[in-house]
Amino acid sequence: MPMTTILVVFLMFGAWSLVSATQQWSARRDAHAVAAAAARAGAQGDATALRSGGVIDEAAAIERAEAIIAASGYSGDVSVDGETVTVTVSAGVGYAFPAPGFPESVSGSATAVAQRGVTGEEGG
Amino acid sequence: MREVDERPMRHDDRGSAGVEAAIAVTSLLLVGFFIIGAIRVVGSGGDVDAAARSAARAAAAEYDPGSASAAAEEVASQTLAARGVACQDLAVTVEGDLSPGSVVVVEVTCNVSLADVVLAGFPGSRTVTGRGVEQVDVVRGGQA
Repeated sequence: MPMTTILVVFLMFGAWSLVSATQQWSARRDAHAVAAAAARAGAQGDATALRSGGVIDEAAAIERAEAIIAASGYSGDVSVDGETVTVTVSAGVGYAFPAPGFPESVSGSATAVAQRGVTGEEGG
Repeated sequence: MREVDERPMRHDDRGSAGVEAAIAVTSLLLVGFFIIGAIRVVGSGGDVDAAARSAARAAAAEYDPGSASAAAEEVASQTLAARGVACQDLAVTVEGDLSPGSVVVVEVTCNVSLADVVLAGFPGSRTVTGRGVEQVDVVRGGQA
C-alpha cells in the first residue's frame, strides 16, 4: 500500500509539472507569435520615408505594432532602430493548477526588418 | 508486494493482497487517464492557437470578407488536420475589415473529445479557443 501511494503521488507530481511546463511553454510561444505579427505589421514601407532614402516611418511603425499587441490582449514594448522593428511581448500564464516555482508571466521577442524593393534591393 | 511478508502475524491478512492490487491498479489507471486528458487539452490549445494564427495570415491576404472567411476556414482546418488534432464542431470567425492597415482577428473554436478519459473526472468534451491577429498590408497589389 505505501508503495502504491508513493507511486501515485509521484505520478501526480509528474503530471502537475508536465501540465504547468506545457502551459508556460504555450504562453511563451503565444507571446513570441504576437511579437512576430506585431513586428511584421510595424516593418512596412512608408511613402514619405521611402522618398527620403529610408523605408519605414518610426512613429507609424510603433503605432501599427502596438495596435497588433493591443488587439491580441497583451502588453509589450516596440523599438525601432533604422529599418529594424523589435517587439517584446509579455504574457501572463494561466496555470490550470497552482504552480509555485513557475513564472507568472513570460515574454517573447521578435524582429522584422523592412527592405527596399521586392528582393531587398532597390529595383525598377 | 514484499511488505505483506514482513508484517507481524498478528491478525489474518488473507485476501488483503487482492484488495491492495485492485486499489493500486485503479489509482494508477486514474492517474494515467488524467495525464492523457490533460496533455490532450493543453496540446490541442496550442494547436488551435497555431491554426488561428495561420488562418489570420491567410485572411489578411484576401480582398473581400467572403473569401477571407473561406481562406481562414480552409487554412484552419488544414492546419489542425496536419497536426492530427481530433476536433469536432470546428468554428472559425473573422473580425475586422480588409482595408490596408486594418487589423484582422481570427478566432478558432473546436471541441476536443475526452470521452475515453471521463473516468479521471474530465467532462465528455472540452471547448478550446485560439486567437490570431494579423495586420492587412499597408501597401497592397491590385486585385487580380
